[in-house]
Amino acid sequence: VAERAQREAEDALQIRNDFLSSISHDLKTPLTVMRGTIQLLQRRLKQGDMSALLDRLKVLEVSINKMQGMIEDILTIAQLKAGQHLDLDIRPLNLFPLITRIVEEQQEITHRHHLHLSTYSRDLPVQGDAIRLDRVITNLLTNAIKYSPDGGSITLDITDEEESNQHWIVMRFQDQGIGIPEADQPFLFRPFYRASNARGHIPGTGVGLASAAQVVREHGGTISLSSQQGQGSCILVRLPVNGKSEERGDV
Amino acid sequence: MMKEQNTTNQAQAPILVVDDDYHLCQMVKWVLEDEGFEVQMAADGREAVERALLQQPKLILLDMRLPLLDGKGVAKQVHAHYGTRVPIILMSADWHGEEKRRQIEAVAYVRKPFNIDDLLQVVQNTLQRSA
Repeated sequence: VAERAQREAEDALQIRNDFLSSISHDLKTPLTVMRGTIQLLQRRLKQGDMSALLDRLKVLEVSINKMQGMIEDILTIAQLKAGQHLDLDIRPLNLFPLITRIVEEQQEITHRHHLHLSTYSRDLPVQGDAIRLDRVITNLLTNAIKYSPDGGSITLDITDEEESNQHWIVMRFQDQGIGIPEADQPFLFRPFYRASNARGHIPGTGVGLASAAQVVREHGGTISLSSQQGQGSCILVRLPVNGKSEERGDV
Repeated sequence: MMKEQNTTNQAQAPILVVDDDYHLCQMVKWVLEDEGFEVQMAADGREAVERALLQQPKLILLDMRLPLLDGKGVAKQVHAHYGTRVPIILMSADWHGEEKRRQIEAVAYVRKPFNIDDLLQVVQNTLQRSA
């Protein structure tokens, strides 16, 4: 028993060290881009050179969004750890324009992956927090890209279904990447947990998927995964069209 | 003076920028292109080695944390192929930059988040020394 306790303590320490080293790297990267881009813009403006300013401002904005997203994820995890509910700003919202924008943004930064979006409708109404759901979809797509380092196609397939008197929007994120070993699958939605075939090979913090899962659940939705190692992964997200049904409670 | 520098730089081999963050590569590319350098980008370690072997770069700016093959692996293969003819500058986010630099036998390192003037200074110094 003492041995087991010690092993768990060592694991926890290892996880904490890995997390701190990953997160400091991940936060400093957009910070470097922001600082560099601002200095580039200052140079241009001093020289009276007004060319290509918009390109640089766009990169600045993307980096700010990226950093904000990471901070949101960390705070989501912190709230989850503290056993608190998230403060959600729930409004009626069409997911379609949000999704198309994210898919386009992600396609722009990779030439190895082909992103495909298929949807049953251009009207995807949910009761949701736009910023949080944006983050969920961004995280799931960036994961699909990140965990298929050899490239390939990534599909986001959107359908709807009726179940337990509810209308659901169903999003399937399918990649052709490294997949998730079966032994890791039950733990993958836990904060800081990283699959054994990713740890040490693919940089990451173990925060994105856990915070995405938390946000989906707090919307009354469900998230699940299916995968075979080496054969890609599929993450399935279901969101209720009419929002969280309080009286049914959490099951 | 600027113009002369531009023409000489352009006539030479590219600088290879390796980072898994597309926008960081893009930003560094702009910084170097403004000085007249030709720049190539690579998003992972394997692509970096492929590009480096296809065309000898005059210099590699290298991140440590990369998919497929980490910075250490890239440096090893580049050194195996070119010896010290292709200097490597490490772009490091952590506090053990000097230790990492020695580990991978890079000639210098810049710590993220760096100032672009400092980056250029390190690049220019390295190129002068290897010229």
